[in-house]
Amino acid sequence: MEDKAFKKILLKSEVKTSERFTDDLMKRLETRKAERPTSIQIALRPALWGLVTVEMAVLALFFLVPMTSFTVFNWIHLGKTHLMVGLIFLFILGINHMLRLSQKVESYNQLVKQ
Amino acid sequence: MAIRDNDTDAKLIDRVKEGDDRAFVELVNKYKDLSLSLAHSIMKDRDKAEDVLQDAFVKVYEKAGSFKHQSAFSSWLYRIVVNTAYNALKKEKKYREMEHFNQETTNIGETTNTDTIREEDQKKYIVMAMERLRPDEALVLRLHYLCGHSITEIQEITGFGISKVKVDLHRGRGHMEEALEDLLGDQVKDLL
Repeated sequence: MEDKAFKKILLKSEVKTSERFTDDLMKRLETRKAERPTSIQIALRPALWGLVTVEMAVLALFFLVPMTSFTVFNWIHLGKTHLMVGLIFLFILGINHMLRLSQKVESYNQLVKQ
Repeated sequence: MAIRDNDTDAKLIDRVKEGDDRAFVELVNKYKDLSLSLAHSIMKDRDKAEDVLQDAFVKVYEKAGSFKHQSAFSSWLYRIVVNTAYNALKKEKKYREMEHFNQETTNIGETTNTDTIREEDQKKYIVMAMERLRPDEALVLRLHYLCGHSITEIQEITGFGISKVKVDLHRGRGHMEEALEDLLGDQVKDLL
């Protein structure tokens, strides 16, 4: 078969996309945009990890220091147990937030790298 | 069929970088059919090829900022489509099966020696014949004859060596002619 004739045949080998292809793609991009971590979130990540670490250290300190209550400016008087529960709650909240943010950043980086 | 227009594409991709989604839609609409044909060369299944193409265009959108105009946009896009398709194929572990020349046929409809094949059926038979080729051969044939890329450009897009591109072009043509003759017999001449 001649090259010209072969080209004529191959020009008919084009496969068409479905009608909703572009709309589906743009919807998918919109969803991704909403899920994408913001630059502020990415920038704050190391700072947040730092806060969680400090909180861990404070928790350990409270656990180790032999005292039953904690007084701030002579008018806030907190029991050691209440303070511990509050700090543990904040610690879990912080860790949960950090893990979700890390997951978001990782999945975004993975797609960009591919 | 999309005509390669580097200046227009360069302007459109610059607008995409600035966050203009309408420019991205223009690029998608311009290249989606040719890109799907390339993905289909590798995946051999229209629906899977369309899924691959969706992933490829998402990557193009996310990576638009890294496009440096060192090559034509179409070459860059096709490279992403081809890589995404081969990765998807590897994930499906179908690559080995596809290495062998597929001899199975799918019936579209009965053809008789007296009937001439309708335009619509012609395309179906040609696509079916393409599905019988090895992914590399089908890809190289479509890049050369459908997209109009030179051997050097095909090398850049696929990452294949020059000699492999030439061999795949030569063998692909032979296999395509065999597949068409097998499917259509004497009616191959109706395609011309």
